[in-house]
Amino acid sequence: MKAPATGQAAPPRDTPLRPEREDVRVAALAALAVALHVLEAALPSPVPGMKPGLANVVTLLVLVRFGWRPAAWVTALRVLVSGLVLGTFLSPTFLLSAGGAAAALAALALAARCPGRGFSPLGLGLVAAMAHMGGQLLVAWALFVPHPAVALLAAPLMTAAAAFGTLSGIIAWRILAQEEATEQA
Amino acid sequence: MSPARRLCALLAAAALLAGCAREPEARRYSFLAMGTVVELSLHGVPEALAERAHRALEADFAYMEATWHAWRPGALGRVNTLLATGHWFSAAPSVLPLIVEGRALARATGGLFDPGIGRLVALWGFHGDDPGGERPPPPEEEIAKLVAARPSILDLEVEGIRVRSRNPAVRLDFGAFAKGLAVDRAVERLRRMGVANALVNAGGDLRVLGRHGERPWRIGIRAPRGGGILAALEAADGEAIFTSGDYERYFTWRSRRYHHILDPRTGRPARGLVSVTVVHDDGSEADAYATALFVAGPRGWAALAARLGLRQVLVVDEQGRLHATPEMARRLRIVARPAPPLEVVELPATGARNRGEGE
Amino acid sequence: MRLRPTPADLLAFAAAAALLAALHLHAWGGGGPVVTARVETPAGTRLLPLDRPGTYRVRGALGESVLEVRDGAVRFVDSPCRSKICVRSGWARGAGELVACLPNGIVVTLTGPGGEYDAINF
Repeated sequence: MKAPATGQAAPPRDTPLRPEREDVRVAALAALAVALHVLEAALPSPVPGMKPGLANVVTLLVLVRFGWRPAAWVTALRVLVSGLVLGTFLSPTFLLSAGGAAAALAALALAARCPGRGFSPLGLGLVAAMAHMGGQLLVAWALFVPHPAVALLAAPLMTAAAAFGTLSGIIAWRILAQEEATEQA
Repeated sequence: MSPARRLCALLAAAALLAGCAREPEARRYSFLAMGTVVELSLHGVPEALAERAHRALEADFAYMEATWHAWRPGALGRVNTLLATGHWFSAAPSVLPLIVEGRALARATGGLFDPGIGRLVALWGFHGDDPGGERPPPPEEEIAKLVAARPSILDLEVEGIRVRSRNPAVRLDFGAFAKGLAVDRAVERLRRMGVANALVNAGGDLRVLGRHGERPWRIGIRAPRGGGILAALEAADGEAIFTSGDYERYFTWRSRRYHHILDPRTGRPARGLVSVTVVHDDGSEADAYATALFVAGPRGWAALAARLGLRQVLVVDEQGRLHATPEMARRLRIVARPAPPLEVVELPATGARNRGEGE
Repeated sequence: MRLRPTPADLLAFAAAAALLAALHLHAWGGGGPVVTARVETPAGTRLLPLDRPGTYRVRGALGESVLEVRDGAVRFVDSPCRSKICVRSGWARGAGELVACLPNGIVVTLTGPGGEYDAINF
């Protein structure tokens, strides 16, 4: 992963008080992600499994600004708490969500290791969304319906994932750019 | 190239290769015989030999069907007529081995498999090609009469080629192991013809020779209540996989299912299990033993399997739960979703197998 | 922070485009050779590609059997036999699978590439 965008945002590691602050930050961001996740769950969807995945924007932001580890925390908390809030904890919906999140985090961990200039938020958004959907489809296939229809559903769902992934990448980039501007001002 | 790039290139190449390198398929033939579809798959066999093998097996099966048919005129039909007289007669050489083998199997299974109950099979109407549909079961008193007569293949006396029955109620029906014997003979015939890799599937009961090229033969076990494949396993050279189930031949009456696996002790369809699958190195034993385990029921099958020396058994009970011996559970891959619960059943310790003691 | 795609981004987009193209090709047919049902009847053999959904009537020894093709699989919907074992067998999907109505003399074998199983035990 490349260095955080600005020096100010880099978490200093030597003082004993700072980790607590990081915990607070993770908690706050996770809460935001949960809110987005729950909000989205209330939206109707034309095809089962087709969701904009706005909560992923939070994961992207945390990844770019603070690194993979906090991003993983935020995502794990989001899946867990959303599951509890929506009452889907350990239900198929929850397992799909968890499988997708795990796949997305794994893909982001790999992407963060990319040599050269690495990925911009745009590429990260795409990779995360595709991995998320891919993970969900695999979980659906393995646990629920090993049916060829899942393979047919994969085409539209992955296309949607690519579109929404790019969108969340753009949103993450706009937010990061704005933050940068505010910080420089 | 950086290590990361090299890895990417390698992965891409591997993906391409996996897509392209497809093994040559087996040659497949199918024909109707013994009231079922017989499939023959041959791998790595030149076309001329494959065609010859196909023709030979089709002729063999037709012959076996004609001679072993219990209720049509033929060698076994004649034996059945003569058994009723109680006198000595000489049995056709095509039928004699079945009688000898059938007696050994009946003895080994403690009579739970018994080809001597042909009259019960006929009474229940399971000897037609289309025994199903909606029809009443036979009257109680007729079942009771036949059960009281205790017909068993062990009532026969065999001296050389001469046979007689001490019990006039005995009629032979080899339905429960003729397929096994036929598959064994087919595999033997293929081996003699120089075929190294083959699969003979007689209506779901099968035996393999060798491998499917680079990999073993892959077998899917169908879920007994529909819904596709229950489990998968890879068959090793010479292995036979046989299933006895209540869904193969049955009729219904007042929403109750009456299937073809009759318990010789009660004269009625055996209760408690839905299917029994046996993996074994002998087709006719696998066939007869699957039937016997089915009759032994939920509480008896494990002890009987241990006594018969069977180590690989899968049982489906009426609740849809699976029970498997440790060796079977290890090689079985459950593919049905949601996966049904599977209980691993340790077989009780017992002495050596007692099949084929004295005849 | 300017929105300038990095080389890695471009690579990711190219890979995603290729993956989506492959998925759509696979989903809308043209994904290579398909599994075909070989329907053997007393009157002869007929082939049904499983990528063409529909209901098919075939004449057998007793009468007409009805086959349904959907989602790359085939099954007996009805048959003039008494036992209806064929109907209860359900769907046959992969190459190598088989469904049959023996009283009506109709055997449906699936042929084609791949296929997970060499034989089905039942």
